[in-house]
Amino acid sequence: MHRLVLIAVCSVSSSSYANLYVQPNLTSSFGYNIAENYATEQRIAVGTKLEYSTEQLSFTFDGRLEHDFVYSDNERFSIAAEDQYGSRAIIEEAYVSGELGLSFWSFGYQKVVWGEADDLRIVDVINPLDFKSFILFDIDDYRVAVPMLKVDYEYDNGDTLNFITTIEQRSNEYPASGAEFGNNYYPNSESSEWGKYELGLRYNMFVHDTDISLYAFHGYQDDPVLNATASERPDYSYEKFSMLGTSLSKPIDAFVLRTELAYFDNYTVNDSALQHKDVNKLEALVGLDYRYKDWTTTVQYTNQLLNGWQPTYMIPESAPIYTASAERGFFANQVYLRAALSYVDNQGGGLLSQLKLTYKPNQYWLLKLNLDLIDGEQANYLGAQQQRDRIWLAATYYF
Amino acid sequence: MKLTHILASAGILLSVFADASANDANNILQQVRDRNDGKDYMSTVTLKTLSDDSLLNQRQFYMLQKDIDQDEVMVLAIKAPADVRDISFLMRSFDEGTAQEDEQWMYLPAFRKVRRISATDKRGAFMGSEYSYYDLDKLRVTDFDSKIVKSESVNDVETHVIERTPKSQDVINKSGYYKLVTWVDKDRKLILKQQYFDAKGILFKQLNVGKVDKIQGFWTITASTMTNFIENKKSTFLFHETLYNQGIEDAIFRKSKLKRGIKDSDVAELIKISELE
Repeated sequence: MHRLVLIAVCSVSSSSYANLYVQPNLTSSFGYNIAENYATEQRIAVGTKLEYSTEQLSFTFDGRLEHDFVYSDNERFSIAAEDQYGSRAIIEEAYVSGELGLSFWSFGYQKVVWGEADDLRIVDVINPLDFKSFILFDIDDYRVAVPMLKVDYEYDNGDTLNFITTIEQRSNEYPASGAEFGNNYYPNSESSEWGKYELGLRYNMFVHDTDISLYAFHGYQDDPVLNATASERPDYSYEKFSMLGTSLSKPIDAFVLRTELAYFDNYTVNDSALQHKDVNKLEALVGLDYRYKDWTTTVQYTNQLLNGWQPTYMIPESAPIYTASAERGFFANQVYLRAALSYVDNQGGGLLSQLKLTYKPNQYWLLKLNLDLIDGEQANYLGAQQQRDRIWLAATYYF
Repeated sequence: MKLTHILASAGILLSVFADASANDANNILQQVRDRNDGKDYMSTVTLKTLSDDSLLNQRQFYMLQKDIDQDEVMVLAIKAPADVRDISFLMRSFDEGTAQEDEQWMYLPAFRKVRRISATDKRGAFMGSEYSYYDLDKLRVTDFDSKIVKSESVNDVETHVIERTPKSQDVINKSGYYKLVTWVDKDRKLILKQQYFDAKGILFKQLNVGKVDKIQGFWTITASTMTNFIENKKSTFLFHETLYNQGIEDAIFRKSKLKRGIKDSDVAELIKISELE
C-alpha cells in the first residue's frame, strides 16, 4: 500500500465535490565535469505536486526547494554563483483555473508552449529560459514560469482560440560569472518587472488532416541588449517586439511533418559599438518524425534570416541548426533511452551530443543519467562550452 | 473426361464452401465489431506487466470512449504512477468503409504539448506493455482474409475459431502480425482468445480474456491477459468501475482537453479512482 500518496475523493455533499492529489518527492543529483574533472552539482531538492479541484475551480502547484552543496567552500565557483544557485525556491507552476461556458481560464504562474518544434524555439516565445545548466535535454526542465492570465475558448467545431497576457516581464536567466556556465552571454542580466504586460494570441484548427496554428505576440525580448555606458558594469535593457507566426503538423505515412514560420518585427540587436539596431527577423523550422515499432526518431532543421543585417551586428546573419534524436523504452519501459545530436552551423560550428538514460526499478524510484559532450569552435555558441562535457546522475523518490 | 468433371465440380464446391466460410467469418467478425456497446463507455483501468511473476510496471488510467457520428473516439489518461501522470492519448477511428487512416495524438506533460503521432505503424508497445497500439484498436474486418476453421469450447463457452491472414503488406507493417487465430464467443460476440503469429509462422503472443461481466445490460470484458511467449512476459488489463451511457460530452475528446488533462473531477461523479495496490 502506497500510503504517502494521497489520492482522495471527498464527497462533501451529494451535489458538491472536492479532490486533492499530493505527490511529494525528494531528488538528489550529482553533476561532474568530465573534461576537467570536478563536481558541478551536489544538489538536494524537496518538491511536491498538488492539485485541488472542486466542481468550479482547480488549484495546481508544482514546485521545489533545493540546495546545492557544491558551492560550499568551493573556490572554483564565485560567491555570485553561490548566491544565485546555492539555495533556490522554484515554482514550476502555481495557478487557479476553471471553466466558464466554452472557455477555460487559468491565472497564475504557468508555462505555455507554442509550436511544433522539439527543444527548439521559433514561435515558442512566451516563457523565458534558465540557462544555469546551459542546454538540458528537455527544454521544459529550464523553462521559467511566468505569471499570466490565459483564456482558452473552444468553438463548436473544435477550433480553439488562446488569449494570454503576462503581467510580469521576465528575462532569460543567465549564470553569474564564476558559475559553471558563467562564460555564457549576459551575466547578471536577469530581469523581472511587474506591470510590464505582454499579449499573445493563438488560433488552432484542424483542416484536411493537418493541425494548423496561427500566432501573434507583442512583448519583450527574453535576451537583453547592451547599452553603451561609461561604467564597467554592463547595462542591459529589454526591448519590445512583435511576432506573427504559424505552425503545422501533418502525418504522411509513417512520418509526421512539422513546420514553423515566424516573422519578428522590430527585433533589437547590438552592433559592435553597442548601438541598438532594429531588424526584421524571419525564422523557420522543418521537422520530421518517424516511428518504427518502439522507436521514435526525429530530425529538425531551423534557420533565421535578418533583413538589414550588417557585419558589425553582434548576432550572426543566419544560424542554421540541425538536430536528430532517437528514443525508445526497454524492459516494459523500466529503462528509457534518448539520444540526440544538435549542430549549430556557424562561426566554425559546434556540436552537442546528448544521451539520457532513465531507469525505473519500481513506482517509488526514478533514476536518471545524462551525458553531454560538447565540441566545436570557441566562437560558436555550443563550441564555447567545449570544456564543459558533463555527466549528471539523479535519483528521485516519490513518497 | 468424367474424372475431370468430377474434380472440377469438387473444386467449385470447395471454393463455394471456402467463399461461404469467408463470408460467414466476415459476418461473425462484423457482428463482433458492430456489437452494441452503448453510446459511450468509461472505466478505470489497471495495466500490469510481469516477467516470471515479478512486476515490471503498473499503470492506472481512465479509458473513455464515445461514438461521434460514424467515428469512434477514445481517450486514455494516465493517473498513476507519478512519473507518467497526465500522459494522455486521443485516438479517432473512422468507419472501416471509408479506408481513412486513424488519427492519434499524445500529450506529454514533459513537453507541455499535444503531439501528432503517425497511425501507420502501430507495432509499438502501449506504455511498455505486451499490448501494442494495434491491439487497442477496434477490430478491423476488411484488413484480413478470414475463414472459420472449427468450433471449440473456451472455458465452457462455445466459440467459432477463425483464422485471419493480412490482405496486404501494409496491414502487416501496421500490425506486425502475419496470422491471427481468433476465438469468437458464438452467443455474446466477444473475442475470448486470440493467437498472434510472426513471419515464420511461430506463435509468439496470445490474448486470453479472463473475465466477462454483464454491466448495464452490456457484455463487458473486465480482465484480459496478453502473454508473450518469446520474451516470457505478460500484461494484464483490469477494468474497474465500468459504466456505459453516462452522457460523456464530446468536448472531452478534443485535443484542447487532452492538454488541460482529464481531471479526476471530470469523471468524479461516475468513477472513484482507487489507490494502487
